[in-house]
Amino acid sequence: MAARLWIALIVIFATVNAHALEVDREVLPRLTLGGVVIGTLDAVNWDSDPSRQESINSEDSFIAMRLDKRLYESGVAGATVGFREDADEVHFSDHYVFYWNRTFELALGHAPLRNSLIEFPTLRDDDLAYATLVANASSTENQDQTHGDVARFDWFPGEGSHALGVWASSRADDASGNDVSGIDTLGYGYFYEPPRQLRYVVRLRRAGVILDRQETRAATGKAWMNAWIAGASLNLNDDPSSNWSLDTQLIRNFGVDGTNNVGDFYQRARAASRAVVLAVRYTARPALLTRWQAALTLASKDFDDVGDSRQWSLVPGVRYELGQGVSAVAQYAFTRYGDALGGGIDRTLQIGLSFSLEARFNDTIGERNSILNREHGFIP
Amino acid sequence: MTGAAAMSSRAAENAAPGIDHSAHMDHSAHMGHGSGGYDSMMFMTGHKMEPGAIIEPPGAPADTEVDYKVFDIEVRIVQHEIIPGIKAHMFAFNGQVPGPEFHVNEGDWVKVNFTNKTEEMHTIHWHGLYVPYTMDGVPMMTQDPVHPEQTFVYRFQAKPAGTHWYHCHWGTPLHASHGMHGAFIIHKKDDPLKQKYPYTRDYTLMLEAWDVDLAREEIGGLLEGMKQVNTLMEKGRLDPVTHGFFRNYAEFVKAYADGKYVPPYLQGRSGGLEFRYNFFGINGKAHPAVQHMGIKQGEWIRVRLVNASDLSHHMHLHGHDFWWVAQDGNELAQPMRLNTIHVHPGGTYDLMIYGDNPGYWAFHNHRTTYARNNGIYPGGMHTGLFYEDFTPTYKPTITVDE
Repeated sequence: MAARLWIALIVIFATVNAHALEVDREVLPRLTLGGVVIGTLDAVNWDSDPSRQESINSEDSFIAMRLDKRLYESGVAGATVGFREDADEVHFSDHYVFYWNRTFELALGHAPLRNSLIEFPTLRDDDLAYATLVANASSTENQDQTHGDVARFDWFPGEGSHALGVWASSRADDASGNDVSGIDTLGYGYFYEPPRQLRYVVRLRRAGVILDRQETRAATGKAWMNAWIAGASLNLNDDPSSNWSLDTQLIRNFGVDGTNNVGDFYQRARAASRAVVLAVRYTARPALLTRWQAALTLASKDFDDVGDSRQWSLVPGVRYELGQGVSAVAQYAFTRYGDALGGGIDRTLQIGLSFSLEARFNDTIGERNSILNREHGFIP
Repeated sequence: MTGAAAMSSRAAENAAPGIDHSAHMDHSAHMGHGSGGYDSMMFMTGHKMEPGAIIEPPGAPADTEVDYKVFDIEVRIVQHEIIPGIKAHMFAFNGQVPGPEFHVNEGDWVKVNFTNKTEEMHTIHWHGLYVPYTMDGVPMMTQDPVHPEQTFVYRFQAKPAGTHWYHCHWGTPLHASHGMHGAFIIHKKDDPLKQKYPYTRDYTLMLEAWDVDLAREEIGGLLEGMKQVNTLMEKGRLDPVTHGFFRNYAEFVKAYADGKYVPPYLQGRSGGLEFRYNFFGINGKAHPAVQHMGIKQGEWIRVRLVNASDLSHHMHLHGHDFWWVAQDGNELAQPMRLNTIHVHPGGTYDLMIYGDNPGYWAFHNHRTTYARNNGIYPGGMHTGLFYEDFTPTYKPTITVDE
């Protein structure tokens, strides 16, 4: 009897497969390749780590591939896979599926965490991570600060630039006894984001506010830690050929009760804190072609319940476009630590080359937030 | 546009007055011209957008001198449906693809108020017409491109008679093929072709090809760039080099040599934007959305083919020969009897068909890869010649996937 059932099932599946092969061609997905490879020569003088020496640094390089297709009725679905280098290891940083249509967007899988709002003009994304994101209180690993298991839903009321998002995450832990298993993050956010193509002609490039709720380990057991993130990126002038812009973000982390020490990473992640980052950027675009950029980023963070715990940084940097997506880069970073953080100063000078790409193949889709779809009627 | 339908002729060619340029010099005072002519506005210091401006170039009689047939035409971005399930954003004259069909009589004086309702720049080139050169619509050669929200007034006398067309000459590969094209028919009094082939119906077939994917990306890219250009222009801060305008070749060479201008065609900048046409059509539609032509037994019909694409098409009629009687508006000295005609980019071809074989007959591009929709046959450039006065033994239906 069981054998007959298996035979019947095999016949059914074989028929279905044969039928599908005969009728439907494999529809090639759109392929978007994106990535940055950055190499710098680093000269360092760190009080926080006197053993640190000059180095050749390729950290934060990554490559990601997005594959997506139109669906029969409406909407687009696909998957993103990406790899990122950190500490001489390659991490499978992105592997998630997504769906979007005119009204909403969802993603599911290992994806970027929504624990920051604004991208700052530093050489690498994690250059000022202590102030630019809400840290993962269960792991000291760099990749666990920016990526985790995520289920995200965004709704675009009015189908415009406004978005309301809700998400749940499972931040990775480093098995150090600080872990919290299961869904350990809930987040809610409001975002204002006009089409990226308008970034030089609108006053407000991006703004938003996020509530990040992270469950973490505390002395009394598990506890929820709430953090607010608010930020904006705006143009200071209305000249797309000679553009001044400002990026700013504030993180107010209410921490976990009873965390009155900042001696290690976990404690710093769980302590109530305030962080602010401010960057002013000048972009020279003669004939509307970006040729060079100079930026000055200021970051500061201090902890509510710990005296002399301020950490602040001043980071000037320049980027000269040698070709499309190819830049000569230089950055100096100065960071001072309050006594509670060990005191001292870190100085880093980096000079190098950056290669970035965003290439699309078999593009048959377009983007929800494109100028055409936004201003001239949405074509699904 | 006030008249998509045929307009009556005044046969004004015999009454054409002399052309007085001075009548319009005042209108174009803001164009930066001197006593010996006028220069492009693009090089004027502080050149601005001037939305709402009406540009009236010299070169044709004033309104008071001749009796113009006046047309209003504007261009805007629309969602155009090629067939069910396939829409694309296109630049469209009066919101339709193809644009309205002009019918005037030879010698008529025509005035077209062309308003740009997009953020991109445009012109209209009157393809095959003997217009004054200031009305020819070639940007930076005969006129400045028409800026957003500006109106450019084209004036000319309709000549020579025949099948012609009009299209945008700014960003031509994209603009002209992806929406901005239409037929311009100039009727001849006592048309000898009508006497020889007494046709009772007259069909115009604009042959088209679209790459809806490239068009989406390119129009989006144009809007991104033009919003920046227009922002600068609104404030009088647009350097003409930004938009690739140079007073002469030497200035262009110097700008490149000095590193002031990085041409977009360089290998380091060009993204290799090649058209890969995936939809083909007739009068804005692809099979099976293309309208059929009607005919009766014993009837002559005239078919005007206009190739608005930059591909060659090879139109084949089943069950009949036809007479190829004119090309580019000009009557052929010796008509040719064919059943397949090779229609080259930009050309117009006039055919006469006699109804002597009742039935339903395909009329399609015999480069059959152009008779497909996104690679699926049949589709694209495919229509039919349908007799209206016979009893079919087999009634045609529709197939879209063979």
